[in-house]
This record gives sequence, C-alpha cells and structure tokens, in this order.
Amino acid sequence: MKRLLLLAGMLLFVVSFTATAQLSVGDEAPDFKLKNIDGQWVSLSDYDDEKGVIVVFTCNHCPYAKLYESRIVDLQKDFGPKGFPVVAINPNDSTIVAEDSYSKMISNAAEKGFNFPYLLDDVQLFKQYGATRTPHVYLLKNQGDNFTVAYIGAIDDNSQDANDVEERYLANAIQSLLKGKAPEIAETKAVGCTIKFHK
Amino acid sequence: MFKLIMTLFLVTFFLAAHGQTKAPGDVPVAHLQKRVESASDTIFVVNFWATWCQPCVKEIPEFNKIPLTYKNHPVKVIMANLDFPNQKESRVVPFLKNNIVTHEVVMTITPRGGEWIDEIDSSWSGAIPATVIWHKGKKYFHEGETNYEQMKEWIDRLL
Repeated sequence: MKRLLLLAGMLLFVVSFTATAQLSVGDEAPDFKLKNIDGQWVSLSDYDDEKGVIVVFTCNHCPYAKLYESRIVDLQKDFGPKGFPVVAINPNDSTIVAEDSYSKMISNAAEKGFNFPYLLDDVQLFKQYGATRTPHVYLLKNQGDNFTVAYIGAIDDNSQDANDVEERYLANAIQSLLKGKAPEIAETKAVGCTIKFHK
Repeated sequence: MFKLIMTLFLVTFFLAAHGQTKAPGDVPVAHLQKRVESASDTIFVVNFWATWCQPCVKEIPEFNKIPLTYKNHPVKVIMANLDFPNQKESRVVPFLKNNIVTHEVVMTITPRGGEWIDEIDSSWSGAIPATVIWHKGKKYFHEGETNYEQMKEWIDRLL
C-alpha cells in the first residue's frame, strides 16, 4: 500500500511537472513540423542556414494579436534578410474559436499581407514551448546543431499604439544577437488572450 | 396600493434587467494591489477581464454568484477591467449597460511594459482571464477560466 501511494505520488509529480514544463532562456527549442497556409510542411530544421528564428504564437481572433499583425510584417521585413525570419504559429483549436480555423488563417494572412509562414499547431506544440497567450514570442538562436531560446515575451512595450513604443524588446534582443551579445532583457510579459485548447 | 406595488415591481425589474450605468473609476494597478493586500478580515477576489476577451465575458455570471459574505467573512469582488483606458466610454460603459456585472468594476490603469504582471503574481503570463484571491496576506492565483465552485475551494484553502 505504501509503495502504491509512493508510486501514485511520483506519478502525480511527473504529471504536474510536465503540465507546467516551460522553456526558459538558454533551453534548446524543440523541433516541429506543422502545416503552413500554403499547404506545405514547415520545420524548425528548415531554418538551419539562418542565424535564428522569430517564433510568434499568434492567432486571428485575439484583439492583442491583431494589434501586432502589421508589426510582425515589419519584423519580417527588417530582420528576415538579416538572418532572423518570422515563423507565426496559431495554437488555437478552431472547434473552440471558429475564427482561428485553417481556412480563416489563409484569408487573414492574405488580407494582412503576411510575408512569413503561418502554421497551424494541431499537435499542441505550444505546450512544449510553454506558450500561454497570443501573442507570445520566442526568439531562437541557431547554435549550429540546434536552436536555443534567446528571448521570451512581448514584441514591445505598447500593445495599443505602435507609434508610442519606447522599448522594442524583441528588436533589441535581435540586435544584441547580431552583435554577438546576449539580450539585455531576455524575458518580458504582456497582456494577451489565453490559448484556446481542449484540455 | 396596487399601483404602488406595480411601480415598485417595475422599478425592481428595470434595475435588474439593466446593468451598471455609472462609468467605472480609474485605479492604478499598484493602488488596487495595496487595497487587496490589506490585513483585514475581508476576502478579496480580483478578476482581470476585458470586454474583448470572450472567456472573460463568458465567466462574468460565475463572479456574480459570489455573495457579499462567505463563512462569516466579508467578501469584496473587484472586476478589474483591462480594456485600454481610452476605450472606457466607447466600449466599457456600453458593455456595463448591456450586461449584468453585479460587483464593483474598475478600469485598471497599468504602467508601460509588463512588470506589473509579475507584481500581481510571478506565475501569471499576462493572459486573461486571470483571478486572484487575497485573504490576510495569503494569495491564490489562477490564469484562465474559472467558475464559482472552483473559487469556493480556493477561498476555503485560504481561510
């Protein structure tokens, strides 16, 4: 009986641990293979020749995600050619939020002029990354044989008004990496929408 | 007499069918935190929500169920709104007119950046809805949706 209890306790510990597993800055970023809006599969390993990748968990319906759409297009324009392309991933289950369906991702991307892949996360990859909201950014650095996390958090310090931003957290982090330095601010938080999934 | 009863009935019905008509006050998040971290006997329940947040709007009736006293302790529920402050008149006031929110609503004024999120609770990522319960210096935090039954359990843990 005692052994059984111990086993149950250990199991509970493991379960609760995996439920809250979250990438920290410095951790290796898990690879993925997700479907892009053009029907092609996209993997993190496709970016082996880049200096890094800007992974953005975002979606169609969330007002905070919408506020950042044009800023993410600008990030791709600014940093894609410098070796830090954007990969956007929609983690929401469209049986909960219909607006976040694959077909709506295609039309939203066309409407907003997305210049980066927009992938459907139907395998709950967001849990492996520890993403909890949209938008939620993971800046990855190419280490040669893998990618590690260099920055986690918000794009900048003003969700409502792109013209009134004082700190461009993500852009500053990329600039640091381009200079061969570690980002000064490696983690930030911001208000956002919860990720909608079936538990 | 009948007329009076009828009038009273109509007035009550009108009040019940319509939400709050007063615009919520602006409260800096640091002030809000100071208020709820008091050593008083009151159980403070703070729900961070916004009119644009679908799960937040869905769970408002669960907060409406919270009574003013619970197991002999006074309860204060604060519905801390996180719409942008300049959208108070255009979004929050109309929302409160058309929806029943029985507890106090405040416009949460937050400083630039996200450090205030850590101040509320280090485990909060910033996603809403989020609910915090404070009682005599003890705190329970939850990110995501909740319901009245769940909140009763959390309060019991703090009492």
